Amino acid sequence: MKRVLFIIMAACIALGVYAAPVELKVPIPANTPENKYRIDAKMAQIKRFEAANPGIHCVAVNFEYDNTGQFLVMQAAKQAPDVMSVWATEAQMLVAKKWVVPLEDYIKTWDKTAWYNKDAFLPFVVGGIRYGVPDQNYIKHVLYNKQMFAAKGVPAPKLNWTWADFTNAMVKTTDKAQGVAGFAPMGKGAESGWGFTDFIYMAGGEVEQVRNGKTYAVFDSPEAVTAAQFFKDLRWKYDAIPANWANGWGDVYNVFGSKQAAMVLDADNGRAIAINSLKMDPANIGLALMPKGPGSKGRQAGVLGGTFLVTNGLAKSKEVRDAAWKWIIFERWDDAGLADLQAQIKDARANKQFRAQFQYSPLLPNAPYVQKERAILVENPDAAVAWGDPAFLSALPGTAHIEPPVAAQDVYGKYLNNVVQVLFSEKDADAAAIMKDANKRFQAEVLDPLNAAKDQ
Amino acid sequence: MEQALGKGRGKYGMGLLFLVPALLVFGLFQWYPIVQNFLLAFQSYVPGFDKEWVGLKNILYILHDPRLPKAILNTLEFVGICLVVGFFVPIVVAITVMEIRRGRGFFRLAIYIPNMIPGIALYIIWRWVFNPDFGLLNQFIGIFGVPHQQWVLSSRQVLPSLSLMATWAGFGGTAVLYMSSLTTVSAELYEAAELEGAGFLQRVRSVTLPAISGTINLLLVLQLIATFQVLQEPFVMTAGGPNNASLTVMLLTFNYAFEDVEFGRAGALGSLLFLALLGLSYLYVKRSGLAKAKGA
Repeated sequence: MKRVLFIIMAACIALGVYAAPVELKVPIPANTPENKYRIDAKMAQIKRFEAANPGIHCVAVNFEYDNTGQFLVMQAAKQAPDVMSVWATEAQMLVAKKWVVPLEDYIKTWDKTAWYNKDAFLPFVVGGIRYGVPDQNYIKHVLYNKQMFAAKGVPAPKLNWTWADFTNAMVKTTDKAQGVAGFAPMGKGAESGWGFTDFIYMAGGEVEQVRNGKTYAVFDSPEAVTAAQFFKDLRWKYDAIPANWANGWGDVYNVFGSKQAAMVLDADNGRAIAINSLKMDPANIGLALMPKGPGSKGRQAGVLGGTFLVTNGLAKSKEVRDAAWKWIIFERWDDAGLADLQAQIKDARANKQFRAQFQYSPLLPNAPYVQKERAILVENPDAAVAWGDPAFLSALPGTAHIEPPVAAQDVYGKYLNNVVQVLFSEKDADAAAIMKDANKRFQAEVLDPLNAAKDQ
Repeated sequence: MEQALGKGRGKYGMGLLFLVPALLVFGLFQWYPIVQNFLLAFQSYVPGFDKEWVGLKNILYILHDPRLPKAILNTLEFVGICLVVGFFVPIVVAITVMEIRRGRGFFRLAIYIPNMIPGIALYIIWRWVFNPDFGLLNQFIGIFGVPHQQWVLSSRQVLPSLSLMATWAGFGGTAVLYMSSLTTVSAELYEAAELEGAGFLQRVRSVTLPAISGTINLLLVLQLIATFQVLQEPFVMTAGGPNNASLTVMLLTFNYAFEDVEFGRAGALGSLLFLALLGLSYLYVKRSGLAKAKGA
């Protein structure tokens, strides 16, 4: 009798497990009136996903990854979505905290992997394993104010412009009596170190080098020192940056949008601040590749990053992880993605704004999807911006440079940020000595312990 | 005995019952986080995962962090400047305003206005005040032929600048407390002093300051505790820069938690700061006789 009861109970439990749908928490935009169309589009997509995957029940979570701490709180409460779109710069931190799971096995078998630009995955490769699927990519480049250039007789930058051209444009557009700077770099927070690395790469230097599986800091090289000296000159030789140079990420686009700077560097969405908050005319914003640094190693280079789709490390069961992967690839690079783009434009139009983000696809440039995306942007000039001409867009991938492979946020925030601030605040700063000291400390305090941990 | 206890319960029971909500709120939102913070100092915590005990690892890490000595020195410098400037200014202002015969209400309101400005608005205003090109401060010193200064953009000037801003923003509130205390000083004492031929300064020294010494002692310790925990000013205005010149202990604690995502280290540093302030306050209260005065 007991055995029969046991079998019945086991069968019930087994059936129950089989019958219960897998619950998958998926992100939808923040619940604000401005996001109405985007939320509607996402809810419709959830319905289609559930119809296509009967064993999966989706729970919509209002969530957009940011660095305000919301993500940390939601993780602590186990309320963050099982699938998230996160920044490339967070890859190492998220992997180190086990907040993302490896997607290598899934990616290998996905038929659309071949559609991607081969470098697109790089920012989210940690230890040779892919942890994320590229959603949107960016390669940093220069934004310039066309009117300010024209007013000072500065020609539009050519595709192969150099630091000398950049300096010339910067000096000519600077008008300190009017509070106008030729160039507004970031000078506060980790973003200032992030922005400085662009110049190290342009000068032909690197931040880190991996040798025999170990990572070494190399930003004391002559090329990196050249970049540091250039930064110092921006402030003390040319006096071409804002007097109040300690600007964070958002600040520089406010400065640019209020015509207090003629040039800024941007990844993809900083310009939205200038356009939507400061009402800058998108037609007045020109795009240029990063200028080529001096010397034989000088090159045109900008940080490659973007947003990546990842599976939350708190999704423990294989069923949820499989469901998360199905969500990641669901309608990926098909008409639904285009419908989402149209919803974003609709949102922008309803709010009398522009969908101003730079649309740089991780797919190969000749992919039909990329062409369709661009066509939608071109068809909606009142609420969307199709950035860049064909020559710029085809040259841009050639300037991509990935971020430091280890402890990127550390080197940006704790070391290079301080380097930038010393260069901007101390007239007698010795660029070479400062770079050497920061390089030495970063190696001893961060990389050596990590290298030692690998030996254990 | 039981009867006595029963009477006691009846006498205080209702009063104790009224205390329960306050105890719950304090317990849940004040004491429980403090206890958790102490525990966190000995744990590794990644939100979403279970905490792990790591012994003294967090404390050893922060003690070896090269940023900590800098943060401590910066905090001490900030506290020092705030005490030198911010401690005396409210007393002087309060006494001066109380001496004014006409328009006292206006001045009382005027000095309190900075306290009513929302934090973010305050910092935006001061970013412009400190602006090296157009800032009010540089325009003002320019009148006297002093060259423009870098203020918060200079490693040497950033802490005095932030102290100046903090003092301006907070002195009104403290001055109002002093004024309130001054109203309790018996007018007869002043009259007697005047009859004895005491001038303004003598009255202040012999009547006013002794009469409000209890308030001065209390506010000094409160100000000490508050300024040691300086976070907002460097966080918003400089993010600890330039080159960590305005990195304070609290800002370093914040950075451990929300930039490095190392909550255990944040807990360790927060706990150490708490213990340091507790010790400092205890010493001060003991030596100044503040506890005795309050108890009496």
